[in-house]
Amino acid sequence: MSGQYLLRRLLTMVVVLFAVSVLTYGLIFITPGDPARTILTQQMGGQTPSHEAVAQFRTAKGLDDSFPIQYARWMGGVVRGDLGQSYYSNGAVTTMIAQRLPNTIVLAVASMLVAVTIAVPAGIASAVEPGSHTDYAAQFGALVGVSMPNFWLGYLLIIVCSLRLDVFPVAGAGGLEHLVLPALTLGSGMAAVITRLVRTAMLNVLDADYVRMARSKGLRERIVVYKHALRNALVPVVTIIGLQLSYVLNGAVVVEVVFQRPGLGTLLVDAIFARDYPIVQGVTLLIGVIFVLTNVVVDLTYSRLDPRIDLGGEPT
Amino acid sequence: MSNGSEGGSDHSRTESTSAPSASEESFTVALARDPTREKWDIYRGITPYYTHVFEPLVDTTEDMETAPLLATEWTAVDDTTWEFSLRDGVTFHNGDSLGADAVVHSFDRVFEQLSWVPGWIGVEPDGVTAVDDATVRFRTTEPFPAFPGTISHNYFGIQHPDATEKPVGTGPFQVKNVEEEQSITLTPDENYRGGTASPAELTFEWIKDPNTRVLSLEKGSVDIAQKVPKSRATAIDEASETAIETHLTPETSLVAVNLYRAPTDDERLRQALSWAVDQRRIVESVLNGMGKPARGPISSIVPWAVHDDLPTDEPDRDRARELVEQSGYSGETLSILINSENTDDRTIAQILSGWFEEIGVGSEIRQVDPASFYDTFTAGEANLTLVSFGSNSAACDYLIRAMFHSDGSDNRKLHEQNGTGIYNPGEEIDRLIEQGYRAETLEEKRDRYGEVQRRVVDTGAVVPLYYNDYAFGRRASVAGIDKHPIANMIDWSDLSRNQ
Repeated sequence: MSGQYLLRRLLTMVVVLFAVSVLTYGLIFITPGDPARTILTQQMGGQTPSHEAVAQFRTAKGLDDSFPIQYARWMGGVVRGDLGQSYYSNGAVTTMIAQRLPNTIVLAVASMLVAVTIAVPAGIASAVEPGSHTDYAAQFGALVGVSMPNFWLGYLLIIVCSLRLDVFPVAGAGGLEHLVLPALTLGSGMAAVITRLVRTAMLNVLDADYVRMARSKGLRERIVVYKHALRNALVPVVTIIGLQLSYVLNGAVVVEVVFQRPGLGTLLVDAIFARDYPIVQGVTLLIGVIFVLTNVVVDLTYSRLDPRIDLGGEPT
Repeated sequence: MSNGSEGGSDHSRTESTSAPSASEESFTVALARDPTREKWDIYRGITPYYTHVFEPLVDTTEDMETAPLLATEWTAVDDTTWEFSLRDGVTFHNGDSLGADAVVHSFDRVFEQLSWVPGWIGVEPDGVTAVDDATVRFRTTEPFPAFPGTISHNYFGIQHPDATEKPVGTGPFQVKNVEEEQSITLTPDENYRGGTASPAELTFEWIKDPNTRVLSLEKGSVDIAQKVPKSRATAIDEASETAIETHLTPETSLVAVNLYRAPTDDERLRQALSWAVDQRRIVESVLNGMGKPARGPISSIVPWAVHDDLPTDEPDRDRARELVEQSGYSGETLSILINSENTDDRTIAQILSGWFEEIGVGSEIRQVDPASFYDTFTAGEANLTLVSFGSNSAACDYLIRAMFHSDGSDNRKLHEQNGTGIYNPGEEIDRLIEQGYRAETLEEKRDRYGEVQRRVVDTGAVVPLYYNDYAFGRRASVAGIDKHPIANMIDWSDLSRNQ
């Protein structure tokens, strides 16, 4: 890995983010729907705003300007580090994101932990003895996990764990007790995907020559599996865990709504429905940054896990 | 003209509400919207709905009329000038007295932060002045008899002029704690002029998802849940631990019929559609009985509604079929536009489509997202559109104007573009609306607006569906939710819990 490689990746990142911002701004701009009317109706508690009020709102927010002018104004702010103000609340988008981001990160990390804690042992157990009861159980579990929609599992967990067993609160954010059910909901779906992948990767690796060699040298199975096979099997698993970030953000929208956790997901969805352009743009840009950075980190992790993967160097 | 009167506060309550048994109670109300969402410093981080931390000059009564609140009296000095006399002895939560300066300051802040408010209340930013410490003068840009009703809205609650971290108003509740994007906790103001409110603590918690709101109510982690889905209401009401509170609102749901797009430009076809609809069935089967079958476009709770004078809401499909035959209808498919946000609308549109089929009229449903809905509607892209209109203040005049005047917000776009509009029946109606708008007595207003309601029903410009009820879920033990027709204005001062 070279410094040149990192530089190249960073430059690509800027280009990608620019493209993402033009595209989202363009898409939301051509989507029918007047932010002025939608936002005023909400602000006035459901009352229909008058034509005069709508016209004044549009002028004040510069909504009558053309696409290039509105975009350039927004971009000018971004370059200065200002993501603008919400049309609805007048709050600074940067502050609103900063308030919500920790909640989403905590949820993402917790659900990833849940997912990995379930998936890696289940995948290994299932691969070590293919066709066994353990294997079928793990595969069945994965099938159920993949098939269950997040919102449904969320309500189910609330009904069982909150209403019947009275162990966790129904909704809200704050302490650890508020995190368990959302993380389980989001994590179990991911666990299912990762379990299948760990199983396949392990099966491939366990069949490789070097593993057979290790076995034939008389190493204990435990050492063969955990020391020799697992490390190599982890390469595709790390990739998928990285890519699962998109799943976390998608899933977070639903899970945040069901469990009433203020996070980026709900912020974005509310903003899209209200056509609150500055928030949509700000959050999309942030998600873009997260994605590009994740990809860089995943690539870097590759080379640590498998020295045969060479980043940015000349082909060997 | 004087609409106000001297006298005691209509928000007065007996001192007995502060009896120890009641005052030790804390209550939590789950709201569908974030009570901390507004960042305007005028409200200092809380939304001016529900909480009663601030009070406006004018109150909206349970009969949808204006009544004195912080002002005891208001007079139209001339066509465009109003003078409001402030109530004596009103104190803010910090002990300071209410004076005219605080009122002027509050309005100035609203104008400063919300550029569109002048367009709403017809007062320019320099139009509010203090005559003396107890009198405030408003200058409207044009004659506006509905002005006092327009400012009987949560938006115009009076703030203490000094910017402090916490919101300081004059209402029965004061702010104890604000959890950003989660909740607001209030305590009663013990010096409130009408006596101390019963709840020792009142929390408004934001729970966006309707199912989660219901589950929280079932678990008992909230005492009251706003906007419970009507489909779940029967189950909530039948459970021993929970109950449902409903109340008629000033909101009407109706089908706006496009008068300028074939084939609904044919009056006989429009009347046929009207006769095909059974409002009672819609209320019973879709709304679980929560709502009132509509005969006209204005909810019967609005003082100038003429609901009882309008034709019956019973269907007559034979007559409808005859009308279809007499009309020039030749089998085209009508488009029914609905807002995807409202699940009831989807069901209702399907039922309507079935009834239209019975009288030989084909239709298809088109669903669009909430933000695009209004644009699609005002562009006249559909023959029939399911819309709902309601008011959040005593002045409902703008409803009839927005809907049926050629310059009203629904028709304006097409009226300016090609001289049509959507469901504005023409100049004569425009004139009646303008006369009603300027009317100084309720009788005159009812007279003019009543005629508008009759004509839009007669000509089939609308198919009225139902006047909406709001539905609150509550724990069975909770009592004392007042029945204000505007949910945003429900008073929580008398809440109590039966042990």
